[in-house]
Amino acid sequence: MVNESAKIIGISRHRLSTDGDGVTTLVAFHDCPLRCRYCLNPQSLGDGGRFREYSPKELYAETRIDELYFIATNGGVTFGGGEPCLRPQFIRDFRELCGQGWRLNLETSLCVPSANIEALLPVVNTLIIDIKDMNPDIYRSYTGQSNDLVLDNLRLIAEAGRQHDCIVRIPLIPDYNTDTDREKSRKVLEALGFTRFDLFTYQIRKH
Amino acid sequence: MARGKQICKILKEIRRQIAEANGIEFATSECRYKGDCLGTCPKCEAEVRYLEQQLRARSLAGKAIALAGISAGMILMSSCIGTSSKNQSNDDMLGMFIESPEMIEEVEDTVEEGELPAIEDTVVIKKGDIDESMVPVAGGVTEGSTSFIDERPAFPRGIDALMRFLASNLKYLEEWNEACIVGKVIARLNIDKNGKISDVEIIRCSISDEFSESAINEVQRVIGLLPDFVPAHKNSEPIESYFILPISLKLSDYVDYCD
Repeated sequence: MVNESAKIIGISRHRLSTDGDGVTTLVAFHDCPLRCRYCLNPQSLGDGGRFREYSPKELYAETRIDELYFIATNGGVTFGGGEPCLRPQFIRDFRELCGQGWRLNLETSLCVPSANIEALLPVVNTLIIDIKDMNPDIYRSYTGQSNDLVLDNLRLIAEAGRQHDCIVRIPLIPDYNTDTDREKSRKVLEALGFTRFDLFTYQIRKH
Repeated sequence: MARGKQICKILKEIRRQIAEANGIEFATSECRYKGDCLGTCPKCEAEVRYLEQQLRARSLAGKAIALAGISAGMILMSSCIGTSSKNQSNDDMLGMFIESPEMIEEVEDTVEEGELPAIEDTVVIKKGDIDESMVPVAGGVTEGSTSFIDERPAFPRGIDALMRFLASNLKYLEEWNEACIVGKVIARLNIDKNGKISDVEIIRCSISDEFSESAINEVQRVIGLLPDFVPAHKNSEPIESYFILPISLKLSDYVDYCD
């Protein structure tokens, strides 16, 4: 095992109903390719020097304390951030350590190289995908990036037949999109076979 | 109630269920801590370690252990089945590392002060159809601990299919309706190496005495209709195991029927 290390901005135990079914521990990675105006965890951006670096083994040792709850509730670890899909090897190594009994979830934008998603699909149970908006102009305007990679990865997931393991979040982004845009996004996603959607409104936070 | 206290109560209920399903003596007292609660404390952690120790001892003694999924669905991710539409709810805070009061709302909604958390790890039988979002049923039993089993026993085509099966077969009997009964039946199914249900044990029934027999009969009737399961596997070999099936009986619109 390579045991690649990663900077983690925080570990939050006993999360109930916010990051997946069951009792979950949220592990938030540092670093993200996007620069979203309403980012929930802006500390995941910029200099990560102040955050502790974990190896998969160290993280496993720290999260194992809640194994009983994970197993009894079909819960586990949810990797967020930041962008967890920037760390496929770390998560694969972690899966090897924790075994199949824990659910591993990802909270991701999918704005990562497709090779990362290919590597992750076999080891994760659920992907919670914040799609922003399927319209490329809106996406770029809000995130500062193209959504080409997102589209590639959605197709990859669809080709793998894993749509039902995905919860696609379609936010109403104040000042960026409208309900009509969201409806368009949803139709595109439905055409790809995605069926589980979460429509919500971004909370605007003052940083 | 503060969020930490709510988490504490729910975790305590999970511990109680683990103890009960495994016949572990488990006495816990009401937490009297008045300060900020993070949802766990050294006393709570000590109870977890105690359970782990007891489960390990049972495993070493060759006893089967019921653990996997026995509290499944007590905590379900909200509104992620099908579609949902909402504004600024607690769910918006998914993935947010800094916790905020918004995240508390749902937990507070489901648990009343002085009561055990709403038991949603169960089938909710309503007058009409079952609300799928409320129906988590899962479970499995491992030999010893989860590390001793590679794949848990499973209902063919998954939990959703099991939920649909139960929803379409379980009936809320007329006599229960009149009495507005609410309660829970937990069954332990022994799944043999071929996936067949070789034994059924009702390990808990919290329905009032007057109706417990009919509730158990109804649950057993439906269990009798279940198809074969996919057996648990260890080292790629099918093994015998348990599957814990908690079923809760209640009217969804209790007030309408009982007032």
